[in-house]
Amino acid sequence: MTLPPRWIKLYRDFQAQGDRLAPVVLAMIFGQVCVIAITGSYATLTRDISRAYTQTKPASGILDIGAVDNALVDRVRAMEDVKDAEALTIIHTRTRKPNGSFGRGLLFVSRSPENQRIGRQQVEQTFPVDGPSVRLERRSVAVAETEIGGSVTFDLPDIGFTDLAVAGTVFDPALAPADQEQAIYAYMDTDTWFALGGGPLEMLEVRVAGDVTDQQHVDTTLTRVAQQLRETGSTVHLVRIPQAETHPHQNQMTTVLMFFLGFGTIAFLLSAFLISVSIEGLMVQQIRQIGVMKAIGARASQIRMLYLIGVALLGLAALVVALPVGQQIGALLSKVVSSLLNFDLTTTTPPVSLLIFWITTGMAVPVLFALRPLTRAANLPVIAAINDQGINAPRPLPKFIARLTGSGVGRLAVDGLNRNVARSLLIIGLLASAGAVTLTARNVSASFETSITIAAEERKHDLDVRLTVPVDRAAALKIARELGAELRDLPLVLEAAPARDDGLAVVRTYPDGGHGALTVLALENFASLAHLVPLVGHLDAGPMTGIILNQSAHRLLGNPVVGDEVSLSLDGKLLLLPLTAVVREYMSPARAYVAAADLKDQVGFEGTNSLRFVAPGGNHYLTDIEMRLELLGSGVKSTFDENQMAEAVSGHINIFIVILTSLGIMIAVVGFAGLTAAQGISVTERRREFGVIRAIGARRGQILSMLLCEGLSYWFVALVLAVLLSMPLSLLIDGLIGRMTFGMPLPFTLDGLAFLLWAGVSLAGTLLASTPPGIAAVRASVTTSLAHQ
Amino acid sequence: MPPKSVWRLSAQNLSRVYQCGSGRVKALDDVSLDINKGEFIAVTGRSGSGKTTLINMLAGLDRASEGTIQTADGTKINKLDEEELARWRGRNVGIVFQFYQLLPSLTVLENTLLPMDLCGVHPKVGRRDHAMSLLNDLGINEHASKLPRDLSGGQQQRAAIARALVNDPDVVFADEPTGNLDSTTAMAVMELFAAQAAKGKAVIMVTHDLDLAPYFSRIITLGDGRIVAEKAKAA
Repeated sequence: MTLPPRWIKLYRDFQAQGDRLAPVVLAMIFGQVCVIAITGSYATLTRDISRAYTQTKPASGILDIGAVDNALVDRVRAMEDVKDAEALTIIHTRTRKPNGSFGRGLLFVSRSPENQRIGRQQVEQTFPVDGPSVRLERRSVAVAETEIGGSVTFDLPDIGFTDLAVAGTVFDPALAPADQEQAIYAYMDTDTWFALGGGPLEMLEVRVAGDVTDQQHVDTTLTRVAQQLRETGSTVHLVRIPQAETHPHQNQMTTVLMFFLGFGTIAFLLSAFLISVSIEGLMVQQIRQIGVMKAIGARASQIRMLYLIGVALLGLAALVVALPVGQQIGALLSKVVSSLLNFDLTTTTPPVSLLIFWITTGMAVPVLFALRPLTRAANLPVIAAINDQGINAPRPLPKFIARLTGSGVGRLAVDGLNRNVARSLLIIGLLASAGAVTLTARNVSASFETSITIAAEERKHDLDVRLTVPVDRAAALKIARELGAELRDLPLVLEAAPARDDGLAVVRTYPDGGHGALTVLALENFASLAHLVPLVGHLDAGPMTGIILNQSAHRLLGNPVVGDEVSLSLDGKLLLLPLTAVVREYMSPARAYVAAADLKDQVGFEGTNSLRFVAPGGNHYLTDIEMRLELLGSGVKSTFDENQMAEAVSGHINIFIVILTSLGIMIAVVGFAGLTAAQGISVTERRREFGVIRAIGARRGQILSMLLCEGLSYWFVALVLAVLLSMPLSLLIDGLIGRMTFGMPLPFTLDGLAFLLWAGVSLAGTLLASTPPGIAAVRASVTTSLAHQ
Repeated sequence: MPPKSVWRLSAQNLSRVYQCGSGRVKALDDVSLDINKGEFIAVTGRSGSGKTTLINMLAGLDRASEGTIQTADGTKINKLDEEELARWRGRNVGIVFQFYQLLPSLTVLENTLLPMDLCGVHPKVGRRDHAMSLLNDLGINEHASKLPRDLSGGQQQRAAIARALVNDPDVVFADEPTGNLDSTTAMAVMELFAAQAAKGKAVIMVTHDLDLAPYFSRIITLGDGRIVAEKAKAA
């Protein structure tokens, strides 16, 4: 069976125009890869992060009671709207690494960690060990710098540093990744705990019955449980209620995916516009033939259908490449994000509905965007089509540009840009978008670095040593004096919660204690805050009054205004002080600063449990500090230095930087493919014109220079636009990431080096994209060019 | 779909006005003529006299600003919409251009098959044989599988004539079909057209070449868009 002649014509025309169609198909492939990869990973990740978290049966809330026995657990299990309850202790402590350095550790002690009814972990590896042992969360092994069968050293309260054998690993998708938090998560059973001399379990995990995703229902049930426990004589120090059935990093991931979707859509639309412009260019060469076909009886609808099917087939060809590539990239992306957020993927196979969506959009979108140029070409009157000369004369240039460019190569180059304004704008748009996204990624990265620098400068201390039990301030100062170390601050740091009428302290935090925690720092005076930038109100040099909040705490407490009474609950006791100021603290969780005297007066707590040393690399003080603290009946609970802080924050932000840079590269590839296509089409359209110019004396080099000059004009305009666009975009993303991470925008910073790099890369890309069409234009002889139809 | 008309084309008071940068230009001014089967008509005149405009309108390639073109069955050509007009052209009209206008990516045979494919006039099964038979009649069957670029001007024009005739139209319009040919080839092409007229088709040809006058049954001379002379060959 032979094909009907019109289909043969389409096939041969496409075959003959392979070099010009290739960039179009490439643009389609990139657009489709973007859509497939992004929507594929979006579907996979949103499904699996939720599944991974909810299948652990996470606690709806954790009540810090102090001592939990079996009878109390049974009583809570029997309460209204309670599905289940279990006792546990979460010990925030420090760990000692093999090299002697200290790290942050979270030890979860429960009756049988492998058989939890709430907050289930999945045992991954088991290794027979002797002596007291723990299992580590799988991502903690690297943080602990140990291995399965090896050991970790935890500083256990009232027990001291204890070597614990690593009996295996568990996967706990309910926790933020250990490496992101720079924490070692370990799980111990109560038998081991008691054998080591540990005290009773202190907390109660509760999972509510009914709709566990209904935050209000969860909050109501847990506060009711807490009230009932108080009424029966228990002390409820704190009620931790995380976001209902929501992974601690789900919002972070959703934001990442929204970025994906946003920029993926931009890349896809740009490639679709590129298809439209390219098809228009290709149709220019077909117009006469369309006129002839219409003259011999072809209907416009037949011609339109012929080329639309042709474009759909090109879309299909692109899809054949884009589908496996996009799926692979999507799977890779899903794996990277799931690994970053510590959850496993069930499968990366897309749902059938998504597959149908990809195939439909893969074929329909090119058709849709080709419809306008195809319809225009097909509907052209026969005579106009037959007499078509291929190109339109460029629009008249504004006088000042005409004068500026003269009449030589520069003028011809500008005319070239002006000939098809829509196409020129599209190419400039593509390159400018690519540049803007890439520059934005680097600017945001620079803003992040700036915020770390500002935070380090404003912190004014290098090492924070948290004590197990508060000590007298004078005694702490004496220790520092004896060590010859400079102490910046001696605050008393307490976990707090917004006060409630019922007197309960309820915080929206996860079991790791982070992600929503609020701490109060009681200081002798506010002098150590003088360097902080007030956002609202002002910092008086005089005696301390009221409460100072940083921006995160300000937001957490509902944005009170200066003078408003801020009421906090500290271990069930009320602290009520007027708001004096809101200060800026980069890289900091929610904090409230109060005068030590006020804290003592209102709540009764005094002393210090946080020694802040000005000592770069000051970990070497620790042994001496510990010895002296022991004499005071205290010890070191945890240490936190600058590096740990920076790494913890980097873990949260780097993902955005990587994604933005990748998106910039992706759009840049589409942009350069578009430029190659546009230049190719432009050269084809003007081949006869080049023949005329050469016939009247122009040298090949001059034609080539003219085309390169056109490319450079695109590059220059796109570069300027990229810089201009990157500024508001950087501000927007600085704001988004900053607010999400610590409640205010990152400090806007321009990355000059990134600008130079982008300028260089885009220049190279432009020259690479413009040279082949230029060479093709000058390779043909003058007579061939003049005879070009 | 309008039925294939009984052939006779009648143009009444045709005018065509173009809007140019310098204003309105009347390319054709109140032209009336009838074309009957078997006629071989020459349309002559100086450049810009309206020859091409006239046959473009008669062939349904362009629309008159005023006037009517009607077939014997009453079909008013200038009232048809674009789709109907395309169908009418495909079934009733053969067109031969000065520069042949063969589609460069199709072979001679495929170019010849194209109008049948577009208009569906012949059953699919017999199309190839029909086209080959026509190419044979025109003496270019051995070039059937060649692309236009591999043919001489005369061979390309024969291929274009084959394409114009393949749907068995009632009328063939030819716009200076010999303008690009040497005199021997031009004569051969004229013989082909004359043979078609002898078979009962109407052939209307734009030409400058008065040496070809013996071939025509009627010569219409245009000047400034009007018919300034009309001379029929003595029977």
